[in-house]
Amino acid sequence: MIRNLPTLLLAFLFATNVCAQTEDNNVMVSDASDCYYFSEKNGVVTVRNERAETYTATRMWADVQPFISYGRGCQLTSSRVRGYSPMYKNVTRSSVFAGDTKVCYFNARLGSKGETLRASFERLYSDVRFFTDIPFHNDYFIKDKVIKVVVPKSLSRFAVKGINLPPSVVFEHKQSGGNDIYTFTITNMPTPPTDDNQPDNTSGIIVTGSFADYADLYAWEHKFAEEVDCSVSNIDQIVSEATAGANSDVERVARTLEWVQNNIRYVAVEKGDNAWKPDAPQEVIRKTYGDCKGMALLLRTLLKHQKIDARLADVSSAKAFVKPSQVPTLCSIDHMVCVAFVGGKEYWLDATNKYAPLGFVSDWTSGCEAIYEEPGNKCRMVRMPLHTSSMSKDSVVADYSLASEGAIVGEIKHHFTGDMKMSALTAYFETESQDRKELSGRMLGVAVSPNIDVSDISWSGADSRSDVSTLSAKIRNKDAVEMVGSEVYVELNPMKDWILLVVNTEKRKTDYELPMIAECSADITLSVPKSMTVESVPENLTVETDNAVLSLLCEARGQKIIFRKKIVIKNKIVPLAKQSDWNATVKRWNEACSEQIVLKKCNQ
Amino acid sequence: MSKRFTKMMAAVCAAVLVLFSSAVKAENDADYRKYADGVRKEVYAMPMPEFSNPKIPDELKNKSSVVMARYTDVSVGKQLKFAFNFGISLSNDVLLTRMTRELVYIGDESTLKEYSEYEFQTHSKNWTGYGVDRQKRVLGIRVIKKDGTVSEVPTDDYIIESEGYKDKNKTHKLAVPGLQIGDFVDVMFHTVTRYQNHSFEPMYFTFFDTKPVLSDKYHCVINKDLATFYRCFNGAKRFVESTNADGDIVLDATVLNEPQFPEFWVKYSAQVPYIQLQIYHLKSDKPKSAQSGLRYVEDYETQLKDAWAGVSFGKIPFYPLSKDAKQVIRNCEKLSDKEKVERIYNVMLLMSINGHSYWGVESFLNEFGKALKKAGISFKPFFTTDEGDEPIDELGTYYNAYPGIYIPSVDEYYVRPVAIMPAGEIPASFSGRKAFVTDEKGTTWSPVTLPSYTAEQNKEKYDVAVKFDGTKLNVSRRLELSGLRKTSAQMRLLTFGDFDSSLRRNAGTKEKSYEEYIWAEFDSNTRAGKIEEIRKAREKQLENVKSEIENFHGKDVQVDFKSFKVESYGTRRDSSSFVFNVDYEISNLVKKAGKNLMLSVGELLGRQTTLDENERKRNVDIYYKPRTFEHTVRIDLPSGYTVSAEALGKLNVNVANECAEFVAKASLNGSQLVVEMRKVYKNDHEPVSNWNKIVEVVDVAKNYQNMQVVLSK
Repeated sequence: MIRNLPTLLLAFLFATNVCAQTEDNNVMVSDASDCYYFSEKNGVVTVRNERAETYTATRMWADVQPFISYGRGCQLTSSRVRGYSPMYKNVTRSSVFAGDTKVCYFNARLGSKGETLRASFERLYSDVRFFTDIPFHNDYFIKDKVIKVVVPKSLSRFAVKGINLPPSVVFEHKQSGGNDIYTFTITNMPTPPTDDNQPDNTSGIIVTGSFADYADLYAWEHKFAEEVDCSVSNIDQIVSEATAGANSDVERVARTLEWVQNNIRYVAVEKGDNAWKPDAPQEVIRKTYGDCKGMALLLRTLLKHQKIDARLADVSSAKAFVKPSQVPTLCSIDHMVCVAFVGGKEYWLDATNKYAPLGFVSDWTSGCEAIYEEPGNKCRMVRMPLHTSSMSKDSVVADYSLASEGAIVGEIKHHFTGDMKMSALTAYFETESQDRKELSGRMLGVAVSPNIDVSDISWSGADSRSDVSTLSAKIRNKDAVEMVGSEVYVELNPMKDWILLVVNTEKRKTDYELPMIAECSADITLSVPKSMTVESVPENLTVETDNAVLSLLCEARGQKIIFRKKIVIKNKIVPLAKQSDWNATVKRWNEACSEQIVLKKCNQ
Repeated sequence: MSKRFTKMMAAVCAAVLVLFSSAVKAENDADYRKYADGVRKEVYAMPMPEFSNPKIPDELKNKSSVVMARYTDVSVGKQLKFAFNFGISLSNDVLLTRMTRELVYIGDESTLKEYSEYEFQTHSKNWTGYGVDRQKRVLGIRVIKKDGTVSEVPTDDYIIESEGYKDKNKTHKLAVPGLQIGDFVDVMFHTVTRYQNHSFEPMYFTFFDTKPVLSDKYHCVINKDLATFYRCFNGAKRFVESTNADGDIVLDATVLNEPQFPEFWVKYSAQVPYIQLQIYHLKSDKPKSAQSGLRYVEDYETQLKDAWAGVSFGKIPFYPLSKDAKQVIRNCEKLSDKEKVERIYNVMLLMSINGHSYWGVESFLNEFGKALKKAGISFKPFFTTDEGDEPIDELGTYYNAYPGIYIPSVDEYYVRPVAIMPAGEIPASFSGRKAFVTDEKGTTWSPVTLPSYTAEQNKEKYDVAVKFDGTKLNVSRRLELSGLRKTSAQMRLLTFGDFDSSLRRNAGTKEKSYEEYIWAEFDSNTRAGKIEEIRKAREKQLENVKSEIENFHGKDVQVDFKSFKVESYGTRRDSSSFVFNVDYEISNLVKKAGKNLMLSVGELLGRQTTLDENERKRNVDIYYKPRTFEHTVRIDLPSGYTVSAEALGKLNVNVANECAEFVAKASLNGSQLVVEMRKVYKNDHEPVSNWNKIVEVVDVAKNYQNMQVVLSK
C-alpha cells in the first residue's frame, strides 16, 4: 500500500538503460521548469502541471529517456519531444501484483556533443489529494531547474514544504498577484547515489493542505473501508474452526490471526478502487489472498463477530517519506493493520507477516505512527510498540564432545524469534521440499561437505503461533578439528555472522543500512576428553560501537570449554564517515571469533 | 456492363471486404472476453479422464510438485489472406493453434508460489521479413480441492492492465483465487499464431521432466496440404498416425510416468526421448524436398541436400572485400598456407564485427570462402550440427544443419566464428561432432568427425604465490587457461577492444589496435562515443575480475582487490592459452591457534564442485567436457613458522580411477610450502554405472578445499 507515485517512478525500467550519472556524466538536464498551478472550479480543486526539460549532451552522443508518470487522480494531457513518438507503459513495483501507475516516455537520442533535446509534458491532477509530493526528477545531473507552485489566495490552505532539502536546492516563498508562489531553485544537483544497502531517501517536496489534520486524513481513507460489505456467509464456521480450543479472548485473537496468516496469502492489488478500498472479507476468503487492507478488514470482521473490540489502523511505516504528524497526506500512510483491544491491552495484528506471533511488531513498523478508529467516528494517533534488538533473536546453542577420530559431535539447536524467525521460516518454506535438508544444514552453520554429517534434522515451532522456532540436528563435523602430533585444534565458531557485513567503501557516497535491529548469539560447550588438556582458547573481546555491541567470551572450566558470542545491533545506520571504523571492527571480531581452541593429548 | 459482371464484381468486392475486415479488425475487451470464455469452455469440455478426480500417489505426497497429467493439442492449418504491409498483397499464412494443459499437485509453498500468479499479453505482433505474425492468447485455470471440488477461475478475477498508444495493449494478470497447498491446479494456455508468408521452426515434443510427470499426451491435427515431417530420437516412439474425416493428418503420442532427469552434467539432445516435428506451407518458405502430406524422416541425405541448397560458400559477392582485407591477402603471398589462413580468418572476423553489423554464420563463411579463393587456398564445404541438436547422420531438419569450411591443406575446420578463439579451434558445441564434407557442387558427401579436445587440452592451470602479512595473505595468482576452459574467462575478462586489437595484430592490418582504428576511421563525435564505450568496458572488466576472485574462492573469503594484468589473450595459434595475473589480499584464511597459526590451504586452491544430497543419486549417464585442473600454491611461511612432517603428510592425497583423478602433493622447500594439485575428468561421457567413481573424486576434492594446515612456531 505504498502510494508514493514519484518515488516509485525512479525505480522504473530506466534503471537498466538510462546513463548512470557520475562526476564525468555525459547527459545533463541543462534547463528545466516544473510548474504546478492550483485552481478551483465548482468546489473542486485541481492542479495543472507543466513540465519542460532541456537535455544536453556534454561530451558526445547519448540516448535519453524523458518521462513522466500519471495514473489514478492524475491525467496526462500532453507530451512532446520533437521527432519522437511517446511510449506508454504500466509500472508496478515488484511487491505489487497489479496497479494503476503508468509512465509516458520517449526513447530519444542526442546526436552529438552540445546537442540539446526539449521535452515537455502536461498533467492534470483532477483530485488534489493525489498530488502528494514533487520529485526532484534527477535521473540526470541537473544544472538548472525551477520548481514552482502557484496557489491562489482562495486556496491558501494548500502549500508546499521542503523536507531535508539538499544544499543544491534553494527555497523561496513570496506572494504576487494574489497568489502564493513557492519556488525551489535547483542548481548543480548530482544524480542520486545508488549504493547497496543505502537508507531510504528522506528529502523532497511535500504538498500540504489536502487534509486539515491526521483525523481528516483518516476519515477520508476510513470511509472506503466503511463502504465495504463485511458480511461473511460462513463466518460462524470459520470462527469456530479458527478458535477451536481457545479459552480466552487473547487466545481467540491469536488463533484468529493465525487462521488469516495460514489461509490468506499476501497479494497486493492496487488497481482502481482497490488502491484505497479494502477487498470485502467474503472475497478475501474466497480468493485466499489479499493485501494489507483486505487482511486487516477480514481480521476486524472475524474478531468483531467474536465480540472482540477490533479496529483498523493506518500505519506510516519506516518506509513512508513523511509522517502524518508532520504532514497529513496520502503518502504519509503506507500500510494497514488491525488492532485488537483485550483486557485494556492493545494487540497489533499484521497478518501480512506470515510467521509473526501475537503481539510481535516488525522492525519496519517499529515505533511508527499509526491512526486507529475510536468510537463516535473519531480516531487516535499512537505510536506502534518499539521493536528492540531482543525481539528478533538468532541464537545457536550446541553441546559438543570431541570424538576420537577428530570430529566435534553433538546436538545443535538454532532458535529464531521475531523478524529472524520470519526470515528463516520464509526461506525454509519457500524452498522446494527436496532441497530443505541442505538449507537446514546451512541454517545450522555447516557447509555442504562430505566431512560433515547432519542428521535428525527437525523443526519445532515452525508456525506463526509460536514465539520461537527451533531447528535442531545432530552433527558430526570433521572439518572443525585438526589433529597434528599431540595437539588438537578445534573451531567452535558455528557460522559467519551474516548480520555483520563489511561495507564496500570504494566509491560509496551514502550511509549504510544494516539488515535489521536484532540479536545474534552462540552458546556452545565442548566436552574435552580427560586424556586432553586445554592449551589455549580464543581471547575474550568486547567492542561497543554506535551500531552494535559485540562480545566474545571463551573459557575452560575443567574439561568443558564454553564459547559464547553475542552481537546486538542497536542502530542500523552506519554513517559514511564511520564505515572504515565499522569494517575494522568487523574484521577484528571475525578474527577473534575464528581463533582456534588448542588441546593437548596428555599421554604424548 | 452486364448484370452478370456486376454481380460477379459485387461478390468479389464482398469477399475482399470480408477478408479485409477480418484482417484488420481490432478486438475490443468484450470480444476478447467472449472468445476467451469460448476457448475455456471448449477445452474443459474435452473428454480427458486423466484431468478428473486426481489422487496423489502416497509415494509422491512429499514431492514439491507432481504433474498428474499434461496434454498438448496442436492444430496447424493454412489460409490465403490479403495482407496490408506497405500495400495490399496476397499472403500464404500458416495458422498454428497450440493448447497445453497441465494438472499439477501443489505440494509446498514454493510450488504454490510458482503456480499462483500469471501474467500474459492477450495479443502480440511480430514483424518479420515476410510480414507480420500475430498471436492471441488465452489462459484458463481450475482449482481442484482435496475433496474433489472443482472451481474454474471466473473471467472477472483476471485483472486487465492496458498500456501503449491509446491503451491498446492488454496484459491480463491473475492471482489464482482459492489455491492452497494440497490442491491441484489445472492450467490451460491456448495460443493461436498466424505466421504470415512463412512457416515456423521445428517443434519439439519432449518426454522427460525434472519433476514427476504421470501422464503426458500429444495430439496434432495438420492440414493435409501442408508438408509434414517428423522424426523420433533417443527411443521416443513414433506417433500413432491417422487421418480425420477431412483427410487431415492426425498424430497422437502418450507417455506414462515420464523419466526424470537431473539438471547438471546431462546432454538432453543425446539422452531424452523426443520427437521433432516440422510443418511447411508449400507456397511460402520451404525446403526443396517438401511435399504435401506426412513423411516420417528416416534418412539424413534429404535434409542435408535441403541445407546445401540454402548456402553459398564463397560464391555470392554479398560484401566487397575491404581495402584492409585485400591488402592483407596481398601481403601474405609468401606465407605458408597455415599462416595465410590465420591472417585471412582474422581479417574476415574483423570485417564481420566492424562495419557490417555482425554477419550471420552463412555470410561469414561466404566471405571467408571468397577471400580464401582469392588467396589461392582451396577448401571444401561441410555440414555438422550443434551438440544441442541431433547428430548430422540423424538429421531431421535442415534447420539444424550448420555449415562449415574445411581447408585440406592445413587440415582445419571452420564452423561458427568466435572472435576469441584462434584460427582453427573448434567451438565447444561442435567439438567431436560428426560432419559431412562435400565438394564445391555438393555431389559427394564424406563422413568425418570434427576435432575434439582431450582432458589435457582443456586445462586450467593456476600458480598461486602467497605471502603473509600478519594474519592477512597477499596473493598473486596466475591463470593459464587453454582449450574449452578459456572461453568463458576470455568473455568476462577481456573487452571488445581487446578482441578487436588482437584480431588486428593477428591479421596484420594497418591499424594495430582498436584505439588506432577509432582515431583513423571515425569523426570526433562517433569517436567520443567509442572512447566512452571503452571506458565503460574497462569498468565492467574490473567488476568481472573481482567476480572472478569471488568465484574462485567463494563468497565467504574476504578479499581486497589490488591489480590485474592480461598476459596473453589466447587468440593466436602460437599463444593459444589465455593468461591472466591477479593480485589481491585475503583476510580470513589465517586463524590464530595458540602460538601457532592455522591456514586454510585448501581454499587457496579454489572452490571445488559440491554435490548436494539430491544430486548424489543419479540414474542417467553423465555428459560433460573432459578437463584438467593443475593448481600450484607456493606459500612463503612467516618467519619462525614451519610445517611438521605429519601436517605435510595430511596434504598428500591420491585418488584415481578410470573416470577421474585427484592428486595433491605437498612439500616444504626451505621456508616455502608448496602444494600441487591435479584434478582430471578424463572423458566426455560416462555411463551411469561409473557415477560413484566420479562422486568419489568430487568428494575428495571437496574435502581438500576444507583442508587446513598448522603452521607451528
